[in-house]
Amino acid sequence: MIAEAKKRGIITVVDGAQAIPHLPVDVQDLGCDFYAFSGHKMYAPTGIGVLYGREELLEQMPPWQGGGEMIDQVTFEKTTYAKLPFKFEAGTPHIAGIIGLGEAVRWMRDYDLSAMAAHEHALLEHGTKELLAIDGLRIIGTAKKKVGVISFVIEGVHHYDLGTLLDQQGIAVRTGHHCTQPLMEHFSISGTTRASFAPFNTIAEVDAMVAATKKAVKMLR
Amino acid sequence: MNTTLEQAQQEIVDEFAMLGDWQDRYEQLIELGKELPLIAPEFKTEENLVRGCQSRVWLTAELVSSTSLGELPVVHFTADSDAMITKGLVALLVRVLNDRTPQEIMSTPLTFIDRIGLREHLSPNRSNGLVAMLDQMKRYALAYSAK
Repeated sequence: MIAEAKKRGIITVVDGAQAIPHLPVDVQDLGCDFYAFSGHKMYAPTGIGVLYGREELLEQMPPWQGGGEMIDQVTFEKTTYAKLPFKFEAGTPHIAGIIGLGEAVRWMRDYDLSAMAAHEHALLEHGTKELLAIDGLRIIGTAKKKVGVISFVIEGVHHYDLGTLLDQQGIAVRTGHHCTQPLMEHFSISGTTRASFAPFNTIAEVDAMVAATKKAVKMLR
Repeated sequence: MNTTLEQAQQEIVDEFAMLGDWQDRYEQLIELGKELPLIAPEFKTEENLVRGCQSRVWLTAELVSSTSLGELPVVHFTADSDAMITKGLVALLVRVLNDRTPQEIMSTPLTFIDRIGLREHLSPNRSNGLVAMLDQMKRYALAYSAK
């Protein structure tokens, strides 16, 4: 997609919040112009994230906010701004969050990201197989190379009810339209239940999720 | 009317006190949801929809004049939801607030949901339509109290 956009002179911005904790990412390999991700999805504190941008583009962009530490020279005739990245970092930065994010990146680098991705893939395959054994269950989103998420609907079972009953059994899932209402409309559904796997999850936990789902379905039907 | 709103709340609290664990409580809610009369399709309109992010609730109300002399008019609610647990909670709310005077609906604090351990469903974060439904019920009562 990025290559196609490039051919047409379109600037690409990747929302990588979901990929960062699950896959090794190389922005130069991807060739995107911008890549954004949030810290809290990769075990860092909340309220901090990263926007990568190609230097050439960042140089061309005007500051988006004024404040301390972002100017070079100011006279009544002309104001020049500080160099990158200071131009975009007006005021007092989120110091504690930045330190936390840095530590999270260091901590993650101690792990083998490819091995983590392989483990998540095993959880995904196992969970998919077990969930599909439930009568009336349909998985929404079956791309071959998808990350460790299973979004599903069950005939005669509302996702809010299922989410509530899974919560009671100590299973955390997300339910609803996941901020993708047009997509839900496309599938003619009101929402889904979505189980997401992280590298620290185990096969036994996936089994517990499936068992809890079966119990909930039994209660609701 | 036989019971006050306060007594109706107490009855529900007593019923739920007899239930054991979470599973019994939720099975009871699901049963209540299944028992709630289905709202007629013509009432399931955009206008009557109380929007929730997760589940949807439909609510209508009318002011019913009493047949016996000297009794005040009461508010009659009809409601439904697309999710069963939400519907069970809707059934409970309708049960305590239905056919009461606007004054009683507005002046009696609702405590039973807290007391039966289902408070989390009335959290604004749940966005299941229940908080909005309760607001809407009180707004109907307020509007009718002016009549």
